[in-house]
Amino acid sequence: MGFMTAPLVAPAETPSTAERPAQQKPWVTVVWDDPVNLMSYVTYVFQKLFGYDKPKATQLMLDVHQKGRAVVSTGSREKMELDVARLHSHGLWATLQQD
Amino acid sequence: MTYGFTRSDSSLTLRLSAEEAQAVGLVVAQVAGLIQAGDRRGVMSLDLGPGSLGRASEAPREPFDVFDDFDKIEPEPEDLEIELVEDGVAGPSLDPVLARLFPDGYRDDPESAAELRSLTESSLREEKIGNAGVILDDLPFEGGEIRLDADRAEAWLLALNDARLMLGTALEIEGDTDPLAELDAAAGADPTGARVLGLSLYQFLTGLQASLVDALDPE
Repeated sequence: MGFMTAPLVAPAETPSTAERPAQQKPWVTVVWDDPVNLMSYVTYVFQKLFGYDKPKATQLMLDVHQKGRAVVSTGSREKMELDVARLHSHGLWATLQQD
Repeated sequence: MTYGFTRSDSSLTLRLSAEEAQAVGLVVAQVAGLIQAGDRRGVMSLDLGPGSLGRASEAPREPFDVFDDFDKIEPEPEDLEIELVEDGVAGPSLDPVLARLFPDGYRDDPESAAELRSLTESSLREEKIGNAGVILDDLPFEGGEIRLDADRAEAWLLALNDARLMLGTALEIEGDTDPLAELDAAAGADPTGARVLGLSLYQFLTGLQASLVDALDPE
């Protein structure tokens, strides 16, 4: 029965994550830490722009503050570009990227 | 006495002295003017950093003087030219304040960032100038009380934030900066210097914006 517990070896043709087609990887909006924006203001902006409740918005704000960045939204590239522009209009430092 | 914004029914109330209103107006007009005139030409507009203290290098060194060498970095004339990426679309401003107000939307992809910028930056500029205009319209320059509805309060909130971003960037505020200790250090080095004024305004606007966030979201 040894063969049934043999380690699985990935077939050589399995594409690596990096080679997967671009459209399979979601786009995300990232907010970066910033020494000027007030914590209460950042929480308020997350609630207003994304409709998050206060605990979720507060947790995201704390992630930004403590970890230096947080993913605040996920979706199509076009949607993330819109989110980044809305965050920039509120003075938050935001970028989009594929995760 | 309560300082800053307070909520009463559906509106927000703020009382300012003439001096306070004029100080807020000065900073907000500066932001609007910078956005309007700067326009990514690398204006290097504000010099409020520790290097602006003139003879501060003769004064005793404080731990906050890490930027004292900043003014020794003279920008080459060509650095002030508009930075162009391959397709001729402008990149972020070389002016640190404008670069902070209009950051790249992509971190490691200048071409995508420039493309997004070409789609969004002019409306973003208009929006920020419009928000600053709301504050300048509402300010009681002779002192007094104003009441804001929700829409105007929102414009105030965003324009106050832009004003703090401008000052914070020009003052080189960092994550571990203690603005009050900075103010003491700056006042010790040059009590009438621009940095003292800038830090005082920054502190004042921070309190004002914090009170507005609290009044908008009283939970």
